Amino acid sequence: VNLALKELRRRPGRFGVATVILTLIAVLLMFLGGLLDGLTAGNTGAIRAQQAGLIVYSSTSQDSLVRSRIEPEQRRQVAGVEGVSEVGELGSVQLGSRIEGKGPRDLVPVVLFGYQDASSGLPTPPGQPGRAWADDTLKAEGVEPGDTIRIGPARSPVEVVGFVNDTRYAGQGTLWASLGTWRRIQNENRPDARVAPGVSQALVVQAAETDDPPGLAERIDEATGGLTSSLTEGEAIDALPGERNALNNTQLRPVEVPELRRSILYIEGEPRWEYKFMRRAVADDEDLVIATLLRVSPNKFYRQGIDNPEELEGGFPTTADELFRYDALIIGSVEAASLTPAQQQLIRDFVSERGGSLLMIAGPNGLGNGGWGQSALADVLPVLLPPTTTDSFHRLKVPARLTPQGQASQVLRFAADNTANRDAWLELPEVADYQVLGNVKPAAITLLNADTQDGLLPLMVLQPYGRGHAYVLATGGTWRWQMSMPLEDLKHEIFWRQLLRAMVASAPETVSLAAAGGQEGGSIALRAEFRDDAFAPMDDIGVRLVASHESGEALTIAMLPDTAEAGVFAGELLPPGSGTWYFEAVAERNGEPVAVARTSLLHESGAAEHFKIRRDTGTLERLAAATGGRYFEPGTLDGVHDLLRYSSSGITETEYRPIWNAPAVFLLLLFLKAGEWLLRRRWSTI
Amino acid sequence: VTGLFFLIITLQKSASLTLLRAVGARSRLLVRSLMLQVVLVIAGGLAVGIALYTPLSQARLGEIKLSFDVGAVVFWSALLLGLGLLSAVVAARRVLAIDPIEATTGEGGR
Repeated sequence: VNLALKELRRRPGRFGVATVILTLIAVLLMFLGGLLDGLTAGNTGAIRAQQAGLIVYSSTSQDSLVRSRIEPEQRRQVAGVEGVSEVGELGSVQLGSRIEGKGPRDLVPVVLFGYQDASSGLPTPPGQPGRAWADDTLKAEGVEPGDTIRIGPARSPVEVVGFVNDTRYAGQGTLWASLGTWRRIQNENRPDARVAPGVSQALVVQAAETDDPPGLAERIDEATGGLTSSLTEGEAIDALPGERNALNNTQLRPVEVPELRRSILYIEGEPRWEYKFMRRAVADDEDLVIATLLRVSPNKFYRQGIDNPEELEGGFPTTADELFRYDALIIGSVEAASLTPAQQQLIRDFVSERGGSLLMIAGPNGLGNGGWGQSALADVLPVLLPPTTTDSFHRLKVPARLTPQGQASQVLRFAADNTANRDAWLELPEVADYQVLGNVKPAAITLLNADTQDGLLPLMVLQPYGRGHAYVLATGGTWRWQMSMPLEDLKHEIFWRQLLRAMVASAPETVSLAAAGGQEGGSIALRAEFRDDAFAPMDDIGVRLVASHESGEALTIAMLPDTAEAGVFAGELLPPGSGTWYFEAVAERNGEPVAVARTSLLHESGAAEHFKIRRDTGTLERLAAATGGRYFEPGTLDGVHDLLRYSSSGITETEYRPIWNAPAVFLLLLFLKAGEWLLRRRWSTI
Repeated sequence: VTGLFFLIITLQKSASLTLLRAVGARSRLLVRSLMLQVVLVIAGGLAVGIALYTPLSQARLGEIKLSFDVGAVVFWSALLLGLGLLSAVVAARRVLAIDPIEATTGEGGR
């Protein structure tokens, strides 16, 4: 002992290095172990918190809580099995949640559980609906007792009554509520996976003390006729799904946010509520500029929202350059006769040639009353307006109703869920007035109806015309939505912002470049369009396109004029690899660049199948049939050997593998070599 | 790592060990000293490692909470000690290979 200690004392540096290395190894091992324990705890806490003898899933669920459904009859059968002392139901739903104090898009993923008293590792479920215990890790997100968390797209409110410890599930914080609260939130937010009263996802079974859980599990599954799969707590933890395919966790898509602001011209014939409220609704939208011409006396207009004193100085634009700088045009309660035939033709060209959007709003002097049905714009409009001889404008309050097409439209969406959106429209106050439109044209789509005493009449109609779109809104009374609802309700603002944004979004720029395709080995199609300030096609130019890969590689692509469409040039690129491609098309006249269009595209090769990981039986069967093969289901592979033996393909493939792929042979060789070496040592031949 | 380290140390001091064997030190004594050094070095490394990991285990890595599981720490410590002693056997064999007769004739250990 003295010898060892003396050496240690005399040469501390020599042993210090080994001690430091061992310290680092020990810390690394314990850190990795702690990390693994933390990960495991974060995935399994909810199951461990049940402190259950058994957890019962439906037999078809592959022991997955999300896929499992337990009917009330099965619950009764399980409760009647000898050795079962207590049965509780369990349900879960994973959703994004909004927490007080965070931004509306700052979602926190949570799993909301519904449970009963049988979950003995948890406190008694909150008695009042809409209340829940929260996992204490949600404290890090700023959650405090008394806070209301809004869950899912329906923003279902849940009030936090306190915290529970070590109950995370699938790496997410959890909320623990009554079964009724879980069913309500599941049905509000996951209409595709609604649960009926009495139905749960799993049963938490407490066994009598004398009973062994594996034996009880067999008896339970027998009692339900094989409709259940009962697992011990350990088995349930082992069955928790792992990450089978991590390649589909992320999906990259480049989003181009243009810096330009889109402009709208609004001409209104008289000061009225709709004018004021609509302007106010989009006043905070920095991407939209509304320049307005409000007629205050014959031939005298009050201008608002203009960029410079010269803008609209002469009233409504009389030239294409002047009008086509706007992306959309709104015509309110103003007669067609107040514009010259040339101006009406200009508006028609604005929609058909420039590709702008036109919105006509109802009013005492608008639509049919204003003589627009007999104007140059009659063809552009999506409805056949009645003649001026009949007063089509009615100051009667009517509710607006979504049509089936309106329900599918993103413009009229107040909630992500269809049911919630329909309910939101049903709750809207009536509009102040409506105007009879006449027959809807064949290509038009009716998005809203007015529920009048004469039945449903079209209230909002849309049709494409040339390169642009024409909308008709047969009311000037949406301002009542703002006046009759609480100030914090934003439906009026959302309606106008979404409508106006949709109108300007479809209006093309003078130059554009689009890249599409390129999936799974295909080529990227490129289409460039160049027009001058008056939106006339530029057909006296040549176009050169440079494609740059994110790695720095650059290619020049030939862009050829489209023979069917003036000003349009097309080309294609067969991308040599995955990654983001940046395209720049330069229009040149006499060797001088006159316009540039840019775009980008993320090309992913071989990634599509990871986002569709279900077995595609139909494709496999067709592939087998087309190539003279046969399709086998996983359970019927017995015949494969015989099939291969008699295969006429005549292909033999030799595959070389390192020897440790055959461990028995590898160990035998190792043993023989070691034996030879030992024998040589013994015989002193080495 | 431990085994290699002690093998190197043993090789470095093979002259001293040969001398000790030549003056009559028994192999058992030398091996016992070696093993004691192994145990002390590993125990020291583990003690410092545990002392460093204890505050680290209270930390959070994103949403993952690290844990200080006594059972896991004991397991890793025992595993490191066991593997260290096992790997030191190679060095011990080196010590045992020193022949005192050859040591006195000046050939030393192999």
